[in-house]
Amino acid sequence: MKRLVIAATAIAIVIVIAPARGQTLDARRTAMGGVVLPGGGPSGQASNVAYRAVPNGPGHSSGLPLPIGLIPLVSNPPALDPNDPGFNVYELANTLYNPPWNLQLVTPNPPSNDVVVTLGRDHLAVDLGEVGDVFPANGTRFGSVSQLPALGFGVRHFFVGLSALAQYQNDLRLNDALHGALANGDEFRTQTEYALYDDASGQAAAALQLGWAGAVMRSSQSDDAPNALYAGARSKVLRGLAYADAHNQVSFTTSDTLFGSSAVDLNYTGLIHDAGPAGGGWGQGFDLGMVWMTHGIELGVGVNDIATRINWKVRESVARRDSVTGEYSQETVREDEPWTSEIAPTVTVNAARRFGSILVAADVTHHDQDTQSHLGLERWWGPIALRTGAGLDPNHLVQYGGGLGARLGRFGVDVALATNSRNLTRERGLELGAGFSFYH
Amino acid sequence: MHAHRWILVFAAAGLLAGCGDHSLVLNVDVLSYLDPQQTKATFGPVPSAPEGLYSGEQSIVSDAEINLVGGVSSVTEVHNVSISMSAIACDSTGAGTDTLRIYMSDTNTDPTLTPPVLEVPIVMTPGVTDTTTVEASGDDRLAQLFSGKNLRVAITTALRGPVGLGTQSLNGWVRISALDCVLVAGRKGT
Repeated sequence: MKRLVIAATAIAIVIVIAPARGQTLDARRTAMGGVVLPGGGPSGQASNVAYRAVPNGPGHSSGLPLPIGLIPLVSNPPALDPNDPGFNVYELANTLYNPPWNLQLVTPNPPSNDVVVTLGRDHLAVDLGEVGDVFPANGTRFGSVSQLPALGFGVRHFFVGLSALAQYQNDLRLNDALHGALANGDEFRTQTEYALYDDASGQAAAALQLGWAGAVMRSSQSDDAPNALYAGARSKVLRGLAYADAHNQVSFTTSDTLFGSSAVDLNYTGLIHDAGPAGGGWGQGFDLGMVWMTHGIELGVGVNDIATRINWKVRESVARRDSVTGEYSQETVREDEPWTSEIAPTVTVNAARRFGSILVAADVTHHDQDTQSHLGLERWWGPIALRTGAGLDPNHLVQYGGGLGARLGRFGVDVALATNSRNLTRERGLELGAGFSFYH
Repeated sequence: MHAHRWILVFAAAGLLAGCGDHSLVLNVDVLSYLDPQQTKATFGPVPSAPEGLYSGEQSIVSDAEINLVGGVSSVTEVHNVSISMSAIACDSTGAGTDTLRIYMSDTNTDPTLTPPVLEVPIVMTPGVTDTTTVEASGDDRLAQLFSGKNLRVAITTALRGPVGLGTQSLNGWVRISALDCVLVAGRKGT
């Protein structure tokens, strides 16, 4: 039962987190550096609504990714009890950063140094060594917008469907003093404020999609080299299901003596808004997309979540630490406070072209302050495809991919090797992805 | 919750993040907590006697409290603790010996009622200034003390003057120049 729970949790994490952290489930896409596949690909319609109208090209396939990374996780579940000798916070955190859908062949070594704390009456220094890299100078920011595939139907160019939308974001920052002390091993100083700020938010909503996608210009009838402009628009009527945000500040100010007789109080304040389904209101959002195919070149631009907002009736509460008793308390300030949440737009620009038997594809995706780009190549030799690619991840590190595909009739098998730095210390790891392809 | 513990959270988090067989090393500069005027003892003239005059144990630091980062033992298991002390002895005239003793206890116990955690024997030679360093491994009691949030420290001196009649009186001073404790802890169960 425990293993099933872990597996289910891991799958849920993969679904929710994977798009944000750059893990690609489709083995063909992984091998091509994570690039958006031409002809829409598995994620094409989600990132660019116009791909709904683009006819499947020759050799188009649907992928079925295999969760081979779950095998070692299920056979050897991580220890969750801190008193268990096998308990490893580092590996647990990395599992969250790097959902185990693909098999991790090379995982970064945990920091190998000791943690050294040096203290005296007027000085304190904490040397975390490599662990200090966990605290980047500009803070840690991550988030995701996930949209489940819509269940619905279409009539001619119009379509309607039901889907769900989930978004989360977290922004953790340390002030310069605390960052210097933790990341660089600077000595804690007297009469100095050390502060940590964390802003977290998350929301989920049901979405009724109404849209249109079709060719707005077509000048060639050739299936091999269509010359056409496709456009699409998708309106989303949203119904809020759950919402929460929290703005937390934790700080302390040292006195004249770090470890003198007077204690230093830890200050904590938090402003929290939350709502359940009963507090969920209506909202709306729009997606627009365009795909231009000309002379063998495919160019797509998709913008999702334009002016996406959801209305809520939230509970506002304040959490704080009592400086006298040291106890933490949360007090409701207002009930049914009108609140409007927003989801930042996601822009995806992709291009692809065939040069003989070689397919070249590239994309750039921007969401909030997070920009990623990818470039991928594929070449077929009979039933065998050789793929490679590279991408710039959210940490601005170049990651590489490569892999093979084999096709037998309408059935195919894909394997991919790709590097990633989805871990606490942003060191490079290597993963293996696999999946089946069904050719149309 | 005091900041001391908050700081420890980061240290413990780092340790746990490091995982494996890596350790948390806690270096405590005990001397920094003590009043510098209390860490030096001046003596003399101590006249000679057939077996040397013995001062008995005299307090240098009677009772000092040290605030540490509490809670080490709640997240880690102490593997080793050691304590070292250096003392500079300056002998102007006369020969003699001294023994410095360090006592440590929890906040509810008089440190001088517990066994000394370290003894530093010093031999004084006329006209010589010398540094003596003694290092010793601590026991479970010392490990527990440095795993806690506070401890008490007392330091005594026990001087014996020149032996034999007619020899020069002893004049000089002893100053503690370093008093450090190093605690090495690892994850529980390792």
